[in-house]
Amino acid sequence: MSKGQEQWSSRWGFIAASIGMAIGTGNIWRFPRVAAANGGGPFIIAWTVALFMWGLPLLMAEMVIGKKTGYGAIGAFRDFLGKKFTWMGTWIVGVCLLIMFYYSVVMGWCMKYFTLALTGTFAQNSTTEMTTAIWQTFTTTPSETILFHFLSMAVATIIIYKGVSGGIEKASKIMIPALFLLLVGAFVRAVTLPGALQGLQYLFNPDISMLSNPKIWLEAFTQCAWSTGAGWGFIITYAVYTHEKEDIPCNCAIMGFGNNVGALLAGVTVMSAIFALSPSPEFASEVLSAGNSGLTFIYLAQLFTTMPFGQVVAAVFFLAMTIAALSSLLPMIEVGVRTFMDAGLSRQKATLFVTGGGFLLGIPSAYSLNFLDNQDWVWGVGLLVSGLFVAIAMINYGPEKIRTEVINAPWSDFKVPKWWTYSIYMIPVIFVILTGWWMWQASTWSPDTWLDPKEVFGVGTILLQWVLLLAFALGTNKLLANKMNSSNVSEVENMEGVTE
Amino acid sequence: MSMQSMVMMTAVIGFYLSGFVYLVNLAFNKKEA
Repeated sequence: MSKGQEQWSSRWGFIAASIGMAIGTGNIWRFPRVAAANGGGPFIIAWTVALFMWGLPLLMAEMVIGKKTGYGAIGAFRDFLGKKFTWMGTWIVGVCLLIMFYYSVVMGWCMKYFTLALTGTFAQNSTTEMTTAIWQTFTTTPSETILFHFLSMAVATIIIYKGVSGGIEKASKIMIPALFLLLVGAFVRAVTLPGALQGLQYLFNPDISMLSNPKIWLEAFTQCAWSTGAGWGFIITYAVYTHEKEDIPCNCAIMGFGNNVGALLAGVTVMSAIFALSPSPEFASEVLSAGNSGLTFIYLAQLFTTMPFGQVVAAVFFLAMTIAALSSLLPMIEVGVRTFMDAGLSRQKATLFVTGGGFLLGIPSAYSLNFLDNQDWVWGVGLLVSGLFVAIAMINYGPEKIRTEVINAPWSDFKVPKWWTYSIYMIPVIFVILTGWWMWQASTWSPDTWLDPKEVFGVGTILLQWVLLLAFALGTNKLLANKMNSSNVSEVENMEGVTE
Repeated sequence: MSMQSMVMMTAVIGFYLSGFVYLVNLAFNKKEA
């Protein structure tokens, strides 16, 4: 029921863009680190269960919503749940855009390090002191971080401006094969390094008794929620441009499996490189506990300088990071652009408005690492709420009806069994456990200041910023419900349209 | 690298790679939407 003029020109184009959406920096710099810190093999098992209980059910649910309403998240929630619940869509778009503001800065870091590797900045056999100095100099020079944030946003603007098939699809058809080729190249080089097997032993540690540790499950579900793109509103938006008879189950399964294959490729590469190149196991542990940016921009940048052709490997690695970041930045921007287009703006105006605003509102994150960390924390957990809203939309209508009548359409490549329905009902339970666990964790990180809104990783800052976004979403509920092109409100409000 | 780790690695990579290839094959060899 797509109402827009734009459509994906081919199924491969939609799938390439969707895999690009799912594979982001989190696959490369977070998955290996979190998997290694949580037992390796047992974590991967729990992460696979999470794919089937959170990732795939929500990806399919989003595709149902976007495909059947033909609107971006705000209009889609109005039509799927009724006018009173438009605010849920506003929350989803809001969280996505708030992440986009700082994600462009992160892409800028990757671009900068790609240029550093190309220009031979990392001297042979550098020390971590040297790479730390490069990182600190870069991140404390706002003119540099803002310039690369601008460049990231400019590249994304050019692509989005050209539209769905002429921009996003064309770029994804080049970026995704290139990303896999770069990852495979880095993978082959890393696993053939002497000592790489130690890293693989660590990543695929087979001690499945560790599955009795709840923390492993919580970390695995969180990684899945943040990495697959499920619940972000991406697929609601991308599905608007699909053909009426586009398959849901197989496309979404390709997205989920593609995301996890990308993560495993990156995981094997990063873990092999860390263990092969570290002077001692203690140093390897230090690398793994350095956090996302520390692992990537300080330790890996240093370790690459200790191997033959390290500059080339570093350039390949940071180019892969840049492509992964760009292919995820595009749908973040498109979620906003689609919303403004639903409100009547042309694609060109909507693109300039969203990316121009995104550049300005991303400047604080380019200026301050603390600000960026705070936003990543607040809206990372906020994404779990977005996933809950998508599940509520399904539960409100009846997941079993949606499964049998919409997902398992006559043209579907395969039929989804009942686990989808059970998983949708489980998502609110998983949401409560995950969110409660993260809040509890935060209270233990800073026992005296966890309620202080100024605490970067506190609970207070989450509550304050969530309340502000919620107040905005509720306050603009009626306005936005009416603003989205409402030609089919009555049709879908009574849900007849959903199963047509 | 221990034998158990090797088995775990083979099982995980085998599951994901074969699953991915199977799905892509299903999508593109059956029909073009």
